[in-house]
Amino acid sequence: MSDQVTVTINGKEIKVPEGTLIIQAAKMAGIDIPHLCYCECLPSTGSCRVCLVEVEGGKGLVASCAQKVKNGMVVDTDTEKVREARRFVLELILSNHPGDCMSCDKNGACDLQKYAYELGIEKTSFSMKDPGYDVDRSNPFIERNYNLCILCGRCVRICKQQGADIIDFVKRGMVTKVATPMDRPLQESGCDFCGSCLAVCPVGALVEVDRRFCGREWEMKETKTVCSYCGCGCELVFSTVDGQIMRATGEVSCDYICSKGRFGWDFVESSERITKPLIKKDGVLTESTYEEAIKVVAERLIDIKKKHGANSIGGFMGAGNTNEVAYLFQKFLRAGIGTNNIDSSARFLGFPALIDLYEALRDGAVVSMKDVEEADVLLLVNADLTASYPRVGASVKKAILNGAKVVVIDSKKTEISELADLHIEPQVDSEEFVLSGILKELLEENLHDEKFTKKCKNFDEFKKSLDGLKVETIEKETKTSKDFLKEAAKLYGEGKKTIILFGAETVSSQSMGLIADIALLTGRTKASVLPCLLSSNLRGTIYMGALAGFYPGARRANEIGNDFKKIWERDLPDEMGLSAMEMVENMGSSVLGMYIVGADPVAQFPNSSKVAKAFSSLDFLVVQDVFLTETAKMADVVLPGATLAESNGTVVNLEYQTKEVKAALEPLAKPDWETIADLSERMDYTMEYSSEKEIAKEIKSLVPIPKKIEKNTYDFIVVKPKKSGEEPDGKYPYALIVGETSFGFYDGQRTRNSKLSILELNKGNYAGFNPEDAESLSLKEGDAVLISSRRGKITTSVKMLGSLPKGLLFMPSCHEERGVLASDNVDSKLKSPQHRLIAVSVSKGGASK
Amino acid sequence: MGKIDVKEEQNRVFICTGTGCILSGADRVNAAFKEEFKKRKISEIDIVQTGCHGFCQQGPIIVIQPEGIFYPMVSAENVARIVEEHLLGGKIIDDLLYKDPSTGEKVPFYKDINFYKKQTRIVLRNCGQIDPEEIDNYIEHGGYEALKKVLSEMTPEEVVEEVKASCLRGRGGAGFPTGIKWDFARKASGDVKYLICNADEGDPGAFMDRSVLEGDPHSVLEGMMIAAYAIGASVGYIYVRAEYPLAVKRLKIAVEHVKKKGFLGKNILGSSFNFEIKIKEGAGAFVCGEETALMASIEGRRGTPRVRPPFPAQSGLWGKPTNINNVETLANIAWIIINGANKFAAIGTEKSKGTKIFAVTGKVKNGGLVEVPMGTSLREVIFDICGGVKDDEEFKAVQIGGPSGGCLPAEFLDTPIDYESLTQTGAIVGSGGMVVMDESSCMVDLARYFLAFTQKESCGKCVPCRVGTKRMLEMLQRMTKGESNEEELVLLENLAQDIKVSSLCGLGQTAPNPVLTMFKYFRKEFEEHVKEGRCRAGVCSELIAYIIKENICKGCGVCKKHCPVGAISGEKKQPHEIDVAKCVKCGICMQHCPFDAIYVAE
Repeated sequence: MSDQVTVTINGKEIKVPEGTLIIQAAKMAGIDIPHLCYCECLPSTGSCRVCLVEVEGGKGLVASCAQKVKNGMVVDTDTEKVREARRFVLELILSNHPGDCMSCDKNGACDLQKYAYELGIEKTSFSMKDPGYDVDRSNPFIERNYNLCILCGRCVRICKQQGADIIDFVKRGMVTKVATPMDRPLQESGCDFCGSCLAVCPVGALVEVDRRFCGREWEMKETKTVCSYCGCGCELVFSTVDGQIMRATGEVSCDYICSKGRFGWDFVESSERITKPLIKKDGVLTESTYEEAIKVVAERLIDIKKKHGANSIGGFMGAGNTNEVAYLFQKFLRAGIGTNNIDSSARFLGFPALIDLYEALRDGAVVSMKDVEEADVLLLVNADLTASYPRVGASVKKAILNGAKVVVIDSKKTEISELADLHIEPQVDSEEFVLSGILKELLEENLHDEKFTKKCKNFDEFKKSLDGLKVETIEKETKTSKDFLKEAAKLYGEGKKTIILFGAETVSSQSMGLIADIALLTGRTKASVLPCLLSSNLRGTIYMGALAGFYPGARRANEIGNDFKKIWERDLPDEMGLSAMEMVENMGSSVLGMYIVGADPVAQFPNSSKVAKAFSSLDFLVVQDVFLTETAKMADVVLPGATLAESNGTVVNLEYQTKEVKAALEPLAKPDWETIADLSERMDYTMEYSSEKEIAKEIKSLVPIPKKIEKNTYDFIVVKPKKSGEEPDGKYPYALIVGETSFGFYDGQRTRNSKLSILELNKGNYAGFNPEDAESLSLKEGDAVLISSRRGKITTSVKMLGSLPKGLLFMPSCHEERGVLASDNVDSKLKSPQHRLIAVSVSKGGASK
Repeated sequence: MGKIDVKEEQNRVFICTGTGCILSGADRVNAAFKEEFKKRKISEIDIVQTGCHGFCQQGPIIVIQPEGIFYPMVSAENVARIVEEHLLGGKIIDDLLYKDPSTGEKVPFYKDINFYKKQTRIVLRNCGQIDPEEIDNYIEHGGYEALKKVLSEMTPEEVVEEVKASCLRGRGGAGFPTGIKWDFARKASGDVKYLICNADEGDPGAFMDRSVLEGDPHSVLEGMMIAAYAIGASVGYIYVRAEYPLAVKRLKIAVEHVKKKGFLGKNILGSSFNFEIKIKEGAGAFVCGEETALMASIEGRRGTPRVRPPFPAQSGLWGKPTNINNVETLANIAWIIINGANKFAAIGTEKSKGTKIFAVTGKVKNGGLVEVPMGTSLREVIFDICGGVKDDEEFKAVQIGGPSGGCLPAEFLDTPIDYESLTQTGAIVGSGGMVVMDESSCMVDLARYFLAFTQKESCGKCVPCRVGTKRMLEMLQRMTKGESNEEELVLLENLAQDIKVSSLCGLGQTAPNPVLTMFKYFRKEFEEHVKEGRCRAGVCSELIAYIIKENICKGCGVCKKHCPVGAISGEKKQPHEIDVAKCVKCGICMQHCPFDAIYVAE
């Protein structure tokens, strides 16, 4: 607790914590001091001079945004002297600012306009000059009109704090201007288009291109909902005019949201959306009605069930739907159809291994962004945060600004690794050895929590297993000196508030175990491990039971007793249910009908040509989606899906917080839950819900979210490190990994249909090469290249990526053909594909798309 | 005058190689001496290249020691004579001697020259007396004795107390008591502390810091070491303008020499004191002389000031406690330690102690660097030391303190120069620039000139300075063109006042000072420009006309020949005429007229 000081502001006495700025203290006293350069979330510069106040006994006027209160301070914020100075400053600004309020989008939301009005300034006393800058309209996201800029520097500071740090003031005096290096356009300057600058600009200098001339501030309707992209689940506020989105912002103006959140929503308005049900007639998908389509689906599924049994039907869904949709979908399959053949994208994004980690760590795996920002040591394992889960990346950057030390384990360079105190770049696919090495060093350096480990009953077993692993083996497998591992162990072990962050879809299930072990070995069981999740409702999808082998509440299918039977009023199948890849294996033989919601297995599943063949052998396929995906193209019936921006419900984000999704737009299609419920009705399993709220109520009676596990002892996860990917060999000499990019996302379905795609080479259809590798293969940027793996081959474009080590290729996960190369080798226990690393060969040529 | 160390019987030639004298040809003189010595196989006479003597208007200057004979404006052609007649012949060359401008008498001895006689040289004690590139020369003159004294006999607290007792105030402009500043830094807690020497001298016309750095760099280094010892700093920076190449060069040599002597590094002179000095060259932004902008620049950031507090003593360079002193301030320190605070405090006035160097320029007979006790009157400096106004014109005004200072009329000539007295007039001591003006200077034009400078040098961070100075400049520009009006006069004054109270840093807060004092003391001139469209000094080209007096013009045609725009017409031997519409008022005709037939009409 900081000490309180007493200050008097405009005659009002108030106690505030020591170190409070005058402007903040005034706010606490209910007094708003006009300000332009000051922003609560940014360090003060005191440069606009609008917030000047009088301090008794002080010399001259004081910038209230840059001066802290002192005990006994007497402040006046509204004397004639102050008003005069304020008016003077505003008049000066106005003398250098075109009075284009009529056509300015910020009219009504402009701070300069507001204060000028409040002080009754009709016209500046000074001669007016138009700065005469060209307006930058070279990108479709941010319009930059520096004629309107008042040089408050908020954009510069926020770009430094949470953006790409690419703008600053250039020149000086009257010709001072905010610019990128060499004043290049944003898209050529490394801008990550988070748009934070837009959110803090107090005037009309920076505005969203989308909203230009499309609606006045006061006409906008605001809807607070959740972003539909990654698992960060950021709260978004959509501003709409006449049912059209004008912009997306954070809840508070300086809240970080990434380029996808701020600009990537436009896929919702894409002309490629499916708006009507489609039924395949003579091999052609033809527009139809809901009535007819539902009837066809029901009849065909009933028919297959009758002929081949319920287990000949399977369901698969993405992990980006609301909890309500996920719950209803698995309920439909389990209770309505009578099969446990229900799986989801979660299978490919870290589950079910993550369930083990959650259970091993409990509260330890519940980490908020605030925790990250306050941490003093962060350990990142295979997590390209700024590309994959940008909000986490922004929080890590903030932590770094706050002085946190960062250790990165990643074979390639990332934005954060460039800022890290230690970057361990092990041999690709050897993370398990690195993590084991760190565990060994923690023990050797006596940095483990002995009091805690004594309480863990399998500590000895765990230690014995570690002792069996030789340092030489680790060094050999990782090609990393143990000195680095020791340094990492020391940094981590000596930290006070440490968090391990890893990409759930980029580390092996064994690595997850080792990560849990590192936290446990040091006795860190509170907010100590953050699994970064790629999909917007990954954790929710699992807790709704959309994963083979698991019922709602992540309860194992063989441990559910009669709980669900009672509420669902149906007998439930005895089988554990087939996982996604098992369903594919059995298509055409024992699996004959599939229902897919919000996912594109044909393009996404590993070894996709084999998958396509399997799907084509089905008797019946129904796909419910937003776009006509590769899978939908093969379907017998296609049902329109709704986007999150049109849906109501809830999702669970990676912080383990349940967030409310609210429709900002009138849906182009029926809500997904309604379509599922209608189908269920047709199949004689009644689902009478009047709204998603009723579904939520039913979920609540079955699944407490967040799930509480009461247990006081912890167990280590004993792991024998290994490499899980394909080893490159003479025939396939390169290793290829698939990962996220800044402007592409997951299967690319949404980003391809967004203008964000212009920021990725070929909309993300490329392969990244280390420049030395490219040179040895005589490849140049943009060249067509043929890449082959044991599964198949694709032709794509070359992109130089200096972030890659030699021998490693990178492919964006949004690449349309990424599934062709990937291995469908499945981990026997977890039944998830171990496809992180693919051995490939490369040859120049082929026709690039 | 400091002691001159010479082998009694031996002649030595002291050639001033300050920037001023180099520009007027000191290098050529130096080469000529060497050449002459070589030719005549003279090896027993030393040639000493010294720093600035301060009497820059008379450069190149040489002084022949041990007698101290002063030869001003020496050219390479004079060298053979000096060698032949003076050095070998033992005869003072009368026609090369300095002639006192008021009495017209020849003054052979350096010490008898009025310009020097009336000065008290503490900071400039060694300038012109030693070779700044030879540390031993400095040591022979008592250099580094003060450092030895503090390290062996004094605690840091005692050093701070001594400087406090001397009442030395910062010479960079603000006049904050140096001892108190040191005390803040001494008491601030921090594992690392920094000491910065501010050598970013940027006021137009001020060059005392440059001369000290060029003429006696070790006095600054010694001052820094003592300051560092007093406050507990382990690293020192000299932030010096890159536009001072000679100062940078001599500083670098000095730092190298000091390192070799073991006065820098670990355990200096066997004590536990560790100190190192780094030289950082500034890129020439005026605002980087402001403490916080200076630190930002050292840190590699954009050189813009920030709001204080926190003051540098709490959070300065890289967030560590930092003490920043100006060159002249630091050059006083060793003297104070050796001679004692009392001796220093005995010089000057009640509140302003010691001496101050002024750089006197403009319409003055003997311009240059003048170090006088605080409290000396303006008249003594301008008339007694510098010989009065050039060509014995009427004194009109003196601008003191550079672009942050003020402009004072004749009625203030007897004002004592100290911090308080000058502040009362609206001017400031500032860094010590003094520009003397006669009636040919237009106050409005001068105000425009100073504003153009500060406006150009505004960093652009805060609104009042960035936009306000620009608007002020525009108004003044209109006034010099006769395009203004009386309302604008009022607006200008209000604008100036508002900029003063609302700007972020000292640059903006003082930028209106020249205008405000000129307003106060020369308001009539502004009114003439605005109301009557008249420039009495005949400077503002838009308000004047060049006229040929018919009765004097002989019709020689010289003016017509030189006019660059063909505005002059007339038949041979007939009075010529200037076409006012074509005339661009360059004044070339007037310069060339052999009969003084052309005059400026308001």
